[in-house]
Amino acid sequence: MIRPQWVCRHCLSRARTVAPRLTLARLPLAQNIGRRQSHTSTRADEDEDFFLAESLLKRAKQLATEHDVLERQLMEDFDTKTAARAGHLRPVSEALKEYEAAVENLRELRVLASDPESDLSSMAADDIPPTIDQIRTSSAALTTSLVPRHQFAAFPCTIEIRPGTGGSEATLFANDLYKMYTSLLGTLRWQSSVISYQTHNEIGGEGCSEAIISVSTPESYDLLRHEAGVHRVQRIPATENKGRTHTSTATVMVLPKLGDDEGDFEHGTDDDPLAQIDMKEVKVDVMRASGAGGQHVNRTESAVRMTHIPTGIVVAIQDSRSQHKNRSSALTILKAKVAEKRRKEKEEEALSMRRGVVKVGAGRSDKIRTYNFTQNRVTDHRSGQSNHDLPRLMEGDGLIAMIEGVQEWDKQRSVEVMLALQEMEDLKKDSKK
Amino acid sequence: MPRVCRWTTSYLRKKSPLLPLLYRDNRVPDLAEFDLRSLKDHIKEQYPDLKNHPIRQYKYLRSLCERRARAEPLDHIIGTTQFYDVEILSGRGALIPRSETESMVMRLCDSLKDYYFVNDKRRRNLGNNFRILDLCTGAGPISLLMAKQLYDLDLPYGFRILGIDVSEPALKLAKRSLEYNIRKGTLPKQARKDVGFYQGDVLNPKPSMYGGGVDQGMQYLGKSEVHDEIKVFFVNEDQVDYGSLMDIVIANPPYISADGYWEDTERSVRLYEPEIALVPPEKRPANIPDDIPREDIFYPAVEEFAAYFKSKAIIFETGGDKQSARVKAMLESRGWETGTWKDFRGINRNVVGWRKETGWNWLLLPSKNGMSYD
Repeated sequence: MIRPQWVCRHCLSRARTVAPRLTLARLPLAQNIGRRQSHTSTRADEDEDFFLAESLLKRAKQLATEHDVLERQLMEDFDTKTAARAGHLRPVSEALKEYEAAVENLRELRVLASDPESDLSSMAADDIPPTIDQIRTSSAALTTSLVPRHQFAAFPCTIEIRPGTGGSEATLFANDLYKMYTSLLGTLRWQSSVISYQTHNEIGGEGCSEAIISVSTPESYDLLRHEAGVHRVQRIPATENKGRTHTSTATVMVLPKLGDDEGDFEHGTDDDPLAQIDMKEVKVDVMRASGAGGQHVNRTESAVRMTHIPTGIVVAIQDSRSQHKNRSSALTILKAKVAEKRRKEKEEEALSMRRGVVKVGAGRSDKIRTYNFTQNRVTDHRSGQSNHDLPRLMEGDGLIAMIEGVQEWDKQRSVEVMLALQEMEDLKKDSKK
Repeated sequence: MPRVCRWTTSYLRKKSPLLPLLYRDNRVPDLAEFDLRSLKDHIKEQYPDLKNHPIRQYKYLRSLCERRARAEPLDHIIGTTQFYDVEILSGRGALIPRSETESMVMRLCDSLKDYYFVNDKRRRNLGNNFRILDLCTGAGPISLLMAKQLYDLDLPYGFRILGIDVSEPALKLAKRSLEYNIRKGTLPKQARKDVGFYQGDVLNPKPSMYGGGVDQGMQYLGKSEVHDEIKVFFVNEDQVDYGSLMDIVIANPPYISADGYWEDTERSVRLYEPEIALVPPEKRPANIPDDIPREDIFYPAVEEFAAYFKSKAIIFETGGDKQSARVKAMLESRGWETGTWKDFRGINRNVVGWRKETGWNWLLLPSKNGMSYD
């Protein structure tokens, strides 16, 4: 008969290894999770800064593989959704190929250059710097292509223009902006409709106190969201009779049109864009102390707890004796809860935006762009770009170039943010080691 | 065995007088509570009449807890293991299916769903039934769960799964589990035809009664009894070419070393689960080189089956990072593209391999529903 309360010699010898498990068991679960941190392998030539970070490279490889798989699927039968996804992934895949080819090149060149006997060694040595440059450019391209798209980039949008500080002059400028955007949409051939356009006569022309344009082209939000902000004008208004230059502003709001265009799905399910969770942000605790696992252990350790770190939502499930089942139902519930929370937040945000809390009538110094009529100049304060043909720009000509400049600037900034985050994560990992 | 901390036992006793009994084996308070809940549910479900006899019910519950205190696994006491959708009967003849294995099968099925059987058109384009060989199947959890998942996909050409194991009692459990799930309605009656179990030794297959044991290629019987059985099971009249008889070979073979059996396994595992399902036999077959450690000998043997039947992919469960690395190297040296999957502890638990020309590199993509660990 087996009586566990007695100690057999074998078990006594094991006591040392069992003891830490006991202490672990009593600690809160959160501390057991350290083991789940993945380890990135260190490359031999890590000291060279022009190589990409391991984690970025891993992500790029994953996306490139997905691209290959999607392409193969597309060859068999065409599907718009798959094609769109593959299209988004293509730059990643191409940049990765370029990068890998360059790295391979460099490796071979170094082998050649290190061989003093060979005739080619000096030629190879000469070729190394341009190859390094090539790696730099391709890794920059790769990093840019890895920047995640804006959450609502795929949606259509609405543009709202309201006069800011500056009284009747501001309403005149708001009207100018309205005309500028309608002609821009015309040149882009984007479908749009005017929802509200309220004008009244001012001295010196027609003033606009509110204009709302709805753009129904998908993905329009991606481009136009850069237009949101305070636009500043510096000119001698028609209302001015002493020839002084005035500075006034108009506010442009660009909101993604979510509402009816969200698509057909049940809230909180996998198709819900708001229910998409990055699994890196989810902490999964499984009730289990430590050990080798697998065939070594036969406990029914099926209770699962999941925490969505950004929102702090926690779901704990132990309904079933199957761990995987508990995990999948925990994830489903977590997704639904996160989606609900996000939806609520979004509605609140939209509401507060609509109420005009966001910088309507904000000061002249919070501007994103200045239209200086006296100097015939338009300057974007984010990208630092200037355009010296103001009348044509007000007709929508050259505006796209300016927006694209801002887009580029925005991309650079998000690359920096992404790299900074990456560094922070790496640091964390190192300190944990 | 170290003494149980008194503070913990008194804490548990306050909650329920039965909890210290359950605590004795696993030494995790939360798990003891979970075990108690499972046992209560089990009694409620199995003997609903006992509701009217609280004393008898309690006595029965206590007897079950005492069995658990003697390190008997919970699954043996309850009689079944919940293996995601399906239930596997458990007994002393076979290994209790582990949650790592469950995650492996589900990840494979998710990947198949996401990247292979993408839509109806593609499923029809495949033009053939899907074939899976599950070596060292034990009580058949992998076969039965795969079957359940593939029935949910509703493949136009169907699928076939064959599970092979050397152990007679394990196979008996597997067949009973199949019937049990059909009776419960988790699997359709069709499963009797689509899922097969066969007794055979993967390491030392018996010589075939046909052709004098000489291999005459895939179309003919005669390499060995096990090979013959596989051919007979999977061959279908509609198939024109014998390019590949198999889509996936999946195996969760015994992978614990002789030392590891005494050092790393739990007492309950050693006492109640068959050693044959945990540790590979000492006597190695002639075709396995001596430099392969004893715990690894099943992997090359399974790989030989996969190579012979020109399987598109091969999936293993292993004992941990080191073994995964060894198995991966072995597969790579035999011309497979490889990768590993992590389990919930962050250990490299599975090694996957695929032939380059199949383009099955999606096996390494994380599953779309976020259930994979890397």
